[in-house]
Amino acid sequence: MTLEVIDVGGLTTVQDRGRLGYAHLGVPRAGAMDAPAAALANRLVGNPADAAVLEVTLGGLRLRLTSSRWIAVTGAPGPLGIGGRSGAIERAEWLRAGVTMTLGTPTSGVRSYVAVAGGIGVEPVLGSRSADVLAGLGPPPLRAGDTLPLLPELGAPVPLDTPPRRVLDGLGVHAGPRPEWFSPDTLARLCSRTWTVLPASNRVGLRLTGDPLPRLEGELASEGMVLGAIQVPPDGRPVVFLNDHPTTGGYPVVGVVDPADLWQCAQLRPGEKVSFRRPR
Amino acid sequence: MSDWCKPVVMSPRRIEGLVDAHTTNEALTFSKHHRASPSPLCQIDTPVESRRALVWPSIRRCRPLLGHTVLVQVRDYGPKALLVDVGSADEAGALATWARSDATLSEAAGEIVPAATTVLFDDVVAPEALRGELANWSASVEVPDGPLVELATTYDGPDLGFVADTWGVTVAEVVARHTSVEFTAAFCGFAPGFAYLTGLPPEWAVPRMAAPRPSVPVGAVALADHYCGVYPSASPGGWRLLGHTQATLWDLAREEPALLAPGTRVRFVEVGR
Repeated sequence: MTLEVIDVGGLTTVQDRGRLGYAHLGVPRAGAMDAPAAALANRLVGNPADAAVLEVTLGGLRLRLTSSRWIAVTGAPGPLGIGGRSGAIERAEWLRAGVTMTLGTPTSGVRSYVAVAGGIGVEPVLGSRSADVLAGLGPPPLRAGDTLPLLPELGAPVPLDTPPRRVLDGLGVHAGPRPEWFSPDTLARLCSRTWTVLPASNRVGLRLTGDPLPRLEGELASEGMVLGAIQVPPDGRPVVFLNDHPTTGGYPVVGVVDPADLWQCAQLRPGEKVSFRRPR
Repeated sequence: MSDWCKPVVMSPRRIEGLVDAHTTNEALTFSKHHRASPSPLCQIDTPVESRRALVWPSIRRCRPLLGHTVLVQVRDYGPKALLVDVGSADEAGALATWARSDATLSEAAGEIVPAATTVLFDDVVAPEALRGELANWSASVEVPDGPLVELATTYDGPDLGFVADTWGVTVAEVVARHTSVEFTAAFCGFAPGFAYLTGLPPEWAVPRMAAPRPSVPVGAVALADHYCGVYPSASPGGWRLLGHTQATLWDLAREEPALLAPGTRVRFVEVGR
């Protein structure tokens, strides 16, 4: 009962809800970057929300199963092929044993999620099957020829209404813990400017460029970092900490992205513009 | 349950102070109400009257009115986290140990992360309620000693001479000093299982390298600032290397994967090359 990886394009990893409760040992949380998309994929095939799925960066994935199962693809919408026919995004599709599933380059967004009924059954590490690219925990990124175990199916998929996702309309931002490192209008400045996503963005952080944010010089004593923390390094170009972020850091945090908007960070492409707004 | 989670022992002085300061009817009413769901503070072997004072949730708000100093600053950190400023890494470790030993606090936060001068409480469902609970913390709370780990260390690092020059002593004296200190793992960061060990006096602080080495071997024993650290895996690093240990710092097969989890006491013992 396995999943066979025929080909991978961009970074493709196994992810679940992440490795929680170990930050004090220096262990990042990891987990699916677009968590709502991963949860939807799981629901579509009848999995619990914390089942492990594949996170596919910019498509390029080909796989097959050794036994027939329901699958679902969510997140960044790319052309989905099921054998010779095209499949639908955000819908349960029946993948027969030995038939090749292909996921092409998405037309928008960055990360797609592939759920297989039962879930990916790699051995959990510290309570999670997630790959962590910073700390190197969990299963390594997928390579052509890999085989992944699948867990037993828990039930048939249920029909689901999947309302269209909210369009990208800026990231809600809460005040950070270190206002004394910034001028009082810094959050307003962050929200009034447009930022451009840098190619160095990855699972660790969304790196932005734009008119730099002024801050005090020097470095903080290392302190705990949260998911969505917007660090401002000395060059004034903000970095939004994402799932594989280090557990501590020494740059002051100007704000924290609203948890409800974090999924957008997973889907922003290098060169795309992004803005911040105060939370609704 | 590891030693990291042992109940906190409160110093008698601390308890008496609280009882002295707060003896209103309102307070006693409130604490009676809360006795039905016992706080883990009740595990402490103290007289009943003292326990009441300890679970009284408004102690902190009253302190400034009574002329006492506010001991910690609790900062909002987005909608799901609080960051507590404390005076030192040792205090951060003590607060984190205390919070982990308290059932209410450890339930309230998914992550309790001590660092150099702060403790982060993350994945918090009700930050305002947690803020109230944190009022029960004082730096004078005594936390139990963690387990003692001895690390057999070969002092053959490339920066022994640099550290000797910085301290103005011989290499032999560097080893003598380093093996004489009982360190405490105050917090982890940088990599899984990398503990920042406190215990060096501030005047023995050493600067980091201007540019980090591209690769530091696993088990390297190193200094930076007034911290000591042991690399749990090979990685780039800018700390000053004193030597190496064969101990396994990070092992996922162990129940507690980090050998030097926060609170652990550490001694370095010299072994031959």
